[in-house]
Amino acid sequence: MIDLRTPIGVFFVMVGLALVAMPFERAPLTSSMVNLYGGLPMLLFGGVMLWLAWRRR
Amino acid sequence: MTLGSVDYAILALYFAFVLGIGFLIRRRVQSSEDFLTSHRSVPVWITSLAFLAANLGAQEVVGMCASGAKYGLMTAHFYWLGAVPAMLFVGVFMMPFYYGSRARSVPEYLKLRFDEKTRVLNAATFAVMTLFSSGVSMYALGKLFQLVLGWEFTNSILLSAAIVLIYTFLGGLTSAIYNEVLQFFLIVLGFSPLAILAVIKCGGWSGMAARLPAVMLETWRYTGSSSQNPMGVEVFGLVAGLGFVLSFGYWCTDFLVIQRAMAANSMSAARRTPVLAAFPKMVMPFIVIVPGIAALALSHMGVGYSLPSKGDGLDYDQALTTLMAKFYPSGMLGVGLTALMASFMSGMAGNVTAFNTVFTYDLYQGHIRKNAPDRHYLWVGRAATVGGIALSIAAAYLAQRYNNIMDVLQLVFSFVNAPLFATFLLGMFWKRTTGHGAFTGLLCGTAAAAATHGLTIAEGKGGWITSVHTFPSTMAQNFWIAIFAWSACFTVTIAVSLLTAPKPEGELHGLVYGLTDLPRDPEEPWYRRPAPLALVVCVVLVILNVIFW
Repeated sequence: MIDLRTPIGVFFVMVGLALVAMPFERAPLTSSMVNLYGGLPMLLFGGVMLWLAWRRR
Repeated sequence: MTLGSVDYAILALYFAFVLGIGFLIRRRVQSSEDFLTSHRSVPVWITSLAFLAANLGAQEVVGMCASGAKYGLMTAHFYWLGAVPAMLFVGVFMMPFYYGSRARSVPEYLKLRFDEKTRVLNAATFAVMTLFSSGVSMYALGKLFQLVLGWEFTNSILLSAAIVLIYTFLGGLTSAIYNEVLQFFLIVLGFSPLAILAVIKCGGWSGMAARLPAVMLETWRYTGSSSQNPMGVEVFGLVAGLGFVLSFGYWCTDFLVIQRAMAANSMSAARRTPVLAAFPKMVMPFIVIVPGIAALALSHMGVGYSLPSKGDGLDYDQALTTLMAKFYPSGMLGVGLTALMASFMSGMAGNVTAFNTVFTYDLYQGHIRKNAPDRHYLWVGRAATVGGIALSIAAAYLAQRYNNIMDVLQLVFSFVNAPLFATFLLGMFWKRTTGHGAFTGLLCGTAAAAATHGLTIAEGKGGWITSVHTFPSTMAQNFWIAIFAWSACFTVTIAVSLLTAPKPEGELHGLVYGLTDLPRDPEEPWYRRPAPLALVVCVVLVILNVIFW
């Protein structure tokens, strides 16, 4: 059985990196750096998943 | 709404991962049990999240956001009253019978407990309902993507159906469950920022409260009378209709969700599955309902956002997508749309994997070819997956052709699901219940539901026999239809059971309370036992209801 945490972790690290790499994109109704604030939790979550999967090995 | 290249890249990455999971799992699918039941081998954290995600279809996410804008925080009753208590009940009290009976499906449990005719009635109605449900969900997604992105209806549904087909065909239930977990995290991480951004823009919770009627931010305070709240329901109809009949009818008997718990790797894990799922379920209103409420508040603020119009009113169904267009830049927009696609796919895969199991075991093996080699049933399971998706696509086109088919289907679901809980309640907890009683009760419950609909009117719907009562909303009508259906099934099942011979007690071991050794695990720490965990959920639930009274 594959450890599901690995693909989930890799996916969110990749998406998180893509978002963090483009922090200055702006949306019409907010001046916040939405990609940065949305990407960082994904990066963190993906990292935790990968760490949990690695620890199990 | 226009997508950038990074948005398409995120969508493509997601498709690659779900297909990749299907290919990885394919290698361990050797038998029909592997394909259709995961061979009861899935860890509890995965079954818990899949239990929740299988219910998180596109209509759930888009619809709950729309209901948030239309009815306010009262919509949270669909979670805190209409889901969590039933999830605790099925985990603590009913799962020992589902899992302990070794049944492979809910209809098969009905066969073991009652008889073949009750099983076939449940299997046939469930199979038809799942296909239509999947098709209607597909239709909703196709329309949404057509409206928001200008994608062709056919292209949208064929693309998503093809991907679901590939990963469920390859890896069966395990693949669907694993992808549901990925989809769950994507939905949570994709939509949470939207809720936060929209509420901040409103000036926080107090800012929303200042711009909306008080009824929009309360759950119980205005349920004393149906005229006081936008749902048009009063406290009895709400608690008995939604909180008891409809919610227990769905969460405790619908094989779509029960199948996830039955795939767990032990009895303890199966019992904890719905209980653990209740924790995130309690939080979901803040992710899917609050953005809808914020959308309505923003419409009153003149900040450049307004809910689109539809006829004389507002098009609440577009609350979620219009908020995304205003608050998400390229990047997060791709994540949000991928989450929307994921919610659709998890709902569809859930329906298809439940359908192929019921078709293979309860209809095909039960009535068409009984003693074939297992390899044959594996082949039938895969063929049923292809057939189920093809029929879902046909149902999507049917829904496109007949606009009111969604209303009709919702109604039929409530006709069938509401009485079913009475059958299970009596079957599991009263050993005197008979097969004839269960079967007659189910038919009478469904007939009572149809009669109630035919005799009452709400928002121009129903009253096709004559009109003896008018409900203030279709929601109130649906709740009362469910109450009458359940009561009729409960009463008739008891009456017919008392007039017919019950099964010998020796045949009911493992199937009925009082004749089954219930699992006890005093050695386990409290956080690995369902009852103490359910108690924690209850405490949190009470706190949430008091805060948002």
